[in-house]
Amino acid sequence: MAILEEISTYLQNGRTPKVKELVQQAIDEGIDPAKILNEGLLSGMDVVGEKFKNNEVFVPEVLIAARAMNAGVAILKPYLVSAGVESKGCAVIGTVKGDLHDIGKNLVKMMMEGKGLKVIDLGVDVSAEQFYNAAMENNANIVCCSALLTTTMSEMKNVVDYFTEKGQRDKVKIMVGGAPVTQNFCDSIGADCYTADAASAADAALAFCQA
Amino acid sequence: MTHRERAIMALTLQQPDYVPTFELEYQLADIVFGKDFLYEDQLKGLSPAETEKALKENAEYLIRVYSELEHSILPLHYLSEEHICQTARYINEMTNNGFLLTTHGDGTFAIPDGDGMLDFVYRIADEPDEVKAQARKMADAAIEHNKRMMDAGIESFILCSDYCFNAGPFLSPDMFAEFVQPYLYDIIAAIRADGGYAIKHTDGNIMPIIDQLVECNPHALHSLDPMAGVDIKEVKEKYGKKVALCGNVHCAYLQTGTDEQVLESCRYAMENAKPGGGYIFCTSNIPFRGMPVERYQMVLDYWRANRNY
Repeated sequence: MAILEEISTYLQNGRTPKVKELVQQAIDEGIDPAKILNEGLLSGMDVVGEKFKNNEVFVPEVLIAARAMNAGVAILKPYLVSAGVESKGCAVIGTVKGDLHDIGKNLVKMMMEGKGLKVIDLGVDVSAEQFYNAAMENNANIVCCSALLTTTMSEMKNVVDYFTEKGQRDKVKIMVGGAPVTQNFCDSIGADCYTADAASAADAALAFCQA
Repeated sequence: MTHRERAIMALTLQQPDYVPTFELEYQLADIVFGKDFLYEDQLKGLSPAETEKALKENAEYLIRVYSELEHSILPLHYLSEEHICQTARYINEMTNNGFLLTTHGDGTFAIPDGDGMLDFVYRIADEPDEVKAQARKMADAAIEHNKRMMDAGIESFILCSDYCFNAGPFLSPDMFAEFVQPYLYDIIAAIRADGGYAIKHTDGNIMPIIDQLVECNPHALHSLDPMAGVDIKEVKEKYGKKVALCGNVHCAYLQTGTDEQVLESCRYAMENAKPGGGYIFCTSNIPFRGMPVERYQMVLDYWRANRNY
C-alpha cells in the first residue's frame, strides 16, 4: 500500500509533521490501525535500526526517526486500543544500582519501542529489588540491565541472583549491556543475553517475546 | 631530561630517552598515598592566608604523588580557575618547570547526557544555525580560558569532550564536520598559536571520524580505546607521522580482566606505539576509584621495565 510505504519513508527521514499527516490520512481512509503500525511506522523503524547496526545512520538520526514514530503512534493509539491491538511483549529496563548513566539505556528503550514492545523504564540507579518488582507487576518478558562503569557492572549479577532467590528466574529473560559488558561477563553471571549495540538488543528482545 | 622535556618530545613526534607516561586523572591517591587531592569545596570559609597555605600544601602533594608515579604530565583539576592557576605557579616554581602541566581545555559538544540528548538532537534537526552559534560561543570561551591558563604556566590541555560510543561516533561524520570539527580546529589552533600543546581525548570507536580529528591538528590523540576496538597498531601505521598517540592500555581489564590480559594489553600498546617516538604510555581512561591498586601498579611496573629506547 503506497501510503504505508510513504509513512515508512518519511519516518526514516525523521519528518514528524508529514508522518502525523499521513497516519491521520491512512486512518481516514479506513486502513486497519494494526497495519498502519506494523507496515508503516514499525517497518520504518526497522529500516532505521538496521542502518544503525551497519553504521549507515547514527544516534541523532535514530532519535529523530523515533520522534516521528512516537508522533504517529500517539495519533494511532486510541484506534489501536479500540481494535484490541496489544504490544508484542513487555521489557523492564534500567541502569543498575550505583550507576547514573542512561544514554545507552535510553537508546535501547527507543529501539525496543520501535519494535512494538512495551518498555517500562525504571531510570538509573535501579536496585535488583526494583527490577524484580517492576517485572512482576507488569508481567514482563524481559529485564534489561545497563551499566557504563566497570565498578557497577557487577550489580548485574545481583539482579540475576535476586530473580533466582525469588524463584522467578525462569519467568524472565535477563539481558545485559553497556560499554564494559562482554559476552564472557554475561555468561559468567548467568544472564541470558548480551548484545553489543542497541539495535541488536531490540532484535534479541523481540525474538525472546516471540519465542 | 626533565619530565616536561620528555613529554614535549613525545608530543612533538620525537623520541625521548624513554616513553613517558601520564594519566588524565589519578583517582587512587587517597588509597596509595594516604589522602585525596584538594577540592574547591574544602577552601570554602578559609581566610586568604589559609587558602594560600592549603594550595601550597596541595601543590607539594601533587608533586610528591606524580614524582613517585613518574608521570611526565601533571593534571590540575578539582579547583576553580583562579586556584588552578595559583597551583600551577607554585608547582612550576617548586620544580623549576619540571612537569608539563595540563588542565581541561575543551569547548566542543560532547555526547549529551540523558534528557539533554533529545533536546540536543532535536535542536540539530530543527534549528541548526542556533546550535552552530552556541558551538562558536563555547569554542570562544574555551580559547579565552586556555589563554588565561597558559599565562599561569599551564602549557598543555586535555580536550576531553567525548564523541564516541563503543560502536562509533554519536554524531554522524557529516554532522561532526558541521557541529564539532571546525570549533575543535579553532581551539587547537589557538593553543598552538600560543605555544601550547593539545591532547585530544575521546572514549569510544573514533575510527569513522579519526581523519577529521587528525585534521584538527592536535599534538596527540588520547584513549585509543581498545574496548571500542581501536587498534593502536593500525592508528600508528596510518597516523603516527602526523599525531602523537596516548593510551590504549585496556582500562576495563584493570578492573575485571586477568593479570595476563592486563599485561598483554600493555605489551600490545607499548610494542606497537613505542617505535620511533611519539607515544605516551597510559590507560585508555583513568585509574579510577574502585580499581584494584595493584592492577595499576602492574601497568606501571610493565612500563618501567619496557619504557627505554
